[in-house]
Amino acid sequence: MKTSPFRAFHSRTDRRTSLAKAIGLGSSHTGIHHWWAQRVSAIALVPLSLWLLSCLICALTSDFNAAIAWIRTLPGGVGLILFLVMSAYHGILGLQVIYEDYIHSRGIRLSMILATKFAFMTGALAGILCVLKLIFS
Amino acid sequence: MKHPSPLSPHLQVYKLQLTSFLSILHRGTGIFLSMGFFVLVGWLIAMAGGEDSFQQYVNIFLNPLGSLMLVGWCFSFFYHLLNGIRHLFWDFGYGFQIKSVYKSGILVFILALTCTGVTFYLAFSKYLSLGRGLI
Repeated sequence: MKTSPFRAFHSRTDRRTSLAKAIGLGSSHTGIHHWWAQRVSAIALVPLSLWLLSCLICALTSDFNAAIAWIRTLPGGVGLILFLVMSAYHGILGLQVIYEDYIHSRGIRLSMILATKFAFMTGALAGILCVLKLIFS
Repeated sequence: MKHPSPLSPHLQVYKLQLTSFLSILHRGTGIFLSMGFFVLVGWLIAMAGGEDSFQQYVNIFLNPLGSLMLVGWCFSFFYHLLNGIRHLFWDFGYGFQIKSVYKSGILVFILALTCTGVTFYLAFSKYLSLGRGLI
């Protein structure tokens, strides 16, 4: 049994029942939420991102006054904030899947997930504050 | 590792096929778009800082390398969007036949290229109509 991947189950000193050993090894049943959240945020981003892109072309983003005038309209400001929140959420979820697939070290994996969440949340918050400043100043 | 979880196989041991190429491209464009998120945030921060900082920021993307990055983000956006819709069809159980997987893959790739071209045509024709020189 030396080469069996299940050798923990055949340990002579471990007197726990088979059930006690099996509990906790399977799915924790929390992945469904991640899967759904990724799909829902994706569907929300389909119209939102297309609308944003068309606005960016029309408002011409290299012209200061035109860009500010667009952000000061109600759909412009609200839509931009919605897009920042949704895309940050979708980015966090998507990058987490890639880390979980390819980063083998548990410590690095968890650190990367947390760092990504922190970066996206900071980015979204900074973006929202700038939009609010532009609207109310 | 206390609870070893299954990991995806290493990419380099497989021969690259259209299906795997498009799948990797979906993840790659996703990573690239994540960087684009922070470029968008930077654009807002520059705008909140006034006209001078805004113009400085925009100028970064009006040189050839910056424009190339913008084209990359534009293609990434359309490819990730269209391939994401392809994924949603799979989630509902449609299009799993190997033939339709290839057909939808080619369709998505060509559509993404077309949309990128149209977007840049629209953006630059608007830019030029304002009477400015390119770059």
